[in-house]
Amino acid sequence: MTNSRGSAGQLTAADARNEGSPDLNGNGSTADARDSQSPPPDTGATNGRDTAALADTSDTLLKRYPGQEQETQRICLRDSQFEEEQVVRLLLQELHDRGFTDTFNQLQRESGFTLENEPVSQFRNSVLAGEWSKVKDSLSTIGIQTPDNLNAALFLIKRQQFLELLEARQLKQALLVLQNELSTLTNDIQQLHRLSGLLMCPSVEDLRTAADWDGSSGRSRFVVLESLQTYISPGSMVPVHRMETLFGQALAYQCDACKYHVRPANQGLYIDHMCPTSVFPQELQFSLKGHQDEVWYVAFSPDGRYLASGSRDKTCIIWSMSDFSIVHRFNGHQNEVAYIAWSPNSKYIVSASSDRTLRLWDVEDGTQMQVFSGHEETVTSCKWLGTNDRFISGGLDHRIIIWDINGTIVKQISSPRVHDLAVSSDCSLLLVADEKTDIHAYDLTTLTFMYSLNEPVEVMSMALSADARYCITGLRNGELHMWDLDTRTLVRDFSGHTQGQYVIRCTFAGQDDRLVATGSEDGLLFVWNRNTGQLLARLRGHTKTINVCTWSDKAAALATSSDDKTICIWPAYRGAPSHRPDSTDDLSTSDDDDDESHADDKSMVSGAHSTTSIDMF
Amino acid sequence: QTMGFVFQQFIDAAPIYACVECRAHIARRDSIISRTFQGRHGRAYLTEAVVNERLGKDEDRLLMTGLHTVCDLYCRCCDTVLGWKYVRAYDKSQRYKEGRYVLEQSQIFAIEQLQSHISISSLPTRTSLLVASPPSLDRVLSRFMRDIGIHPGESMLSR
Repeated sequence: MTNSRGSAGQLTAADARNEGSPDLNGNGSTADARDSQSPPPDTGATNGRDTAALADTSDTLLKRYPGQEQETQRICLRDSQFEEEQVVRLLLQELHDRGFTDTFNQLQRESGFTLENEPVSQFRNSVLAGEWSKVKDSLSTIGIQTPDNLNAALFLIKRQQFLELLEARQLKQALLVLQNELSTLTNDIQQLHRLSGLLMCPSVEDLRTAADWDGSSGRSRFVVLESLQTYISPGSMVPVHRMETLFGQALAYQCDACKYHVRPANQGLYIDHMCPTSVFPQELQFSLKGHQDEVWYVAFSPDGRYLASGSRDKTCIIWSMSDFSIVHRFNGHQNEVAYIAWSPNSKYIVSASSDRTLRLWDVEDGTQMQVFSGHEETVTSCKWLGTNDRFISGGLDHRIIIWDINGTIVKQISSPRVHDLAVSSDCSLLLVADEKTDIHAYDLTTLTFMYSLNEPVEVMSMALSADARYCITGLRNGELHMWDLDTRTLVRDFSGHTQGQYVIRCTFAGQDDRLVATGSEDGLLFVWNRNTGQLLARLRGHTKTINVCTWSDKAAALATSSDDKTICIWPAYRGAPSHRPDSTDDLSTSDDDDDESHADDKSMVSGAHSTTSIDMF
Repeated sequence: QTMGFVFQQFIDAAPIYACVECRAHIARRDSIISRTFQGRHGRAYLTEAVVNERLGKDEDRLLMTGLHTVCDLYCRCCDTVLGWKYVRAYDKSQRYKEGRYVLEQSQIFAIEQLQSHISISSLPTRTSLLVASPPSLDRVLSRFMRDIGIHPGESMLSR
């Protein structure tokens, strides 16, 4: 009635009916093991052909575990393409890490496999206990392949010993280790100099920060063990949390294959992740009216609660995302506003204008805090530098300026005329799109030039992904290119939209920057899947050219602004919790305490929004 | 009646003519074909190509040289009228003007020299910032040993 590994994998109907064996139930098999000293009694339903196969299996099982008392005949329910030893040892590692020691021991006994042989576990224990001489001795027994690897592994161990000696203030012992052992193990002079520099650290806290090391009582010994993993053959010492790594890779694969990826993968391990079509932004939730001229920039606050917009009417408006009302209207610029950047704490915005200034506005008070003068031509782009007190701006006057929010210039750099700037999230990379056809990459920490990317025509806008791996560029000839910055090659082309001499900005969108979106001169918003290049949707909600589109994870929405003076919000999740008036309700109430009358808003005709449509692919 | 944000254009090589109101670059001096034209307010130049232009609607005008279809030429940055563009000429002898621009001398001024700017290739590159050759480890260590009171030659093991 039971299926042995020797026979074909299918359970016949007859077998299934007679399948009373509790093999499927974990408790059952343990009970069997405990009770019987012999193979489970054959019930009458066993077919003749199975008996022979069963006998075969028991022989092979005995050969597999020499010296192992065969207490029970272990029947494997199905064939697997993966080696049993590997699967079992991964299970053992999981059980061990999660503290199921009884089951761990039982599984070792029952399978005959052990997670680690004796030398390896001794090695692991001595590293974690800091018994360095034992560690050094046992290093040769744990299966390191080459002398180079041996030296590298020994260096890591000796480095940890050196740091621990410094921490214990045994400076002379530490010096001994450095001079006699560490210096012979590596040719990396820079590294040795850094380590010898640590000898000068006056206190333990300084040592810890200077070496980026959390002390012998912290995680550092585990970290050493993990780094040693690369030199030890994985067969002897299974890489740490290997099963978790494999699960992570499977999840990453599912996310890669997810076409409309706008939601994080939170469906667990039982089902594959796939964002359903319904969560993709396809419904125009709200159309924001309030500007008196073309809207040239729009940006969500990092916390997703506000949207800032800049317009040709020389003002910026802050919109609330909870009720879509106008929170503030910022007047002050003498000319059009072309760019806005939110501070990381969502409290300030910096706006850049063709009046050659930038202005800092406080979103909570609604006041202008500072004017930044220093550019001699239009300021085309600005970005904050990771903190809430510095930002960088670029203009058409060959200048890139790093400002402090109190108004002073921290640094002024001579550069090509800037069309667009992008800063990586760790502020180490600065991309500058110049007025000609190139994108220049600078190391922002040292302000040195690294490389250039060449486009065939003028670059109108540029965006950098959050992981600083990809950048997309919108060109004057209507092409949208995606570059891989690691290999510095053009990897993808997105098409379908129209763009010419007017600046239309492109952006990454969706979960993990999986989507690429851009506006178009025909008033449609185009959204593609970044990995496959497939056009996912064309959204219509504007009547004129869409200038900018932007996405926010927190607000879970796309926002687009257009020459038709409006801003459209496209939410990503159907049935978003925020208030959803129907789309003919088109006026936003203004809470501002401005003197100017906004009676004009009500009479403004800005294009019909009753026809919104979407093509989804 | 513009349609969106456009980057202001710049001409890289002087001498150039710029808009008298807002200093936006308009044309290279080399592109001037004739300086003997007559505009509405006096002398005018015929030029091959312009930048930062915005064109008005086509109109038929009877000029001194005959009937032409022209459109007004504005500075894109400040909307000042700078002259016009010839769209069509109805007299064979005037055909050469088609597609070219007339700039009124009163509306433009000459920029003789442009400020020079550092080109990309001369900015410091990453490699040039690396230290040339660090002092030897032995020297650093022996200095340190002196600092902490170990004399050279003294055996550390005896401590």
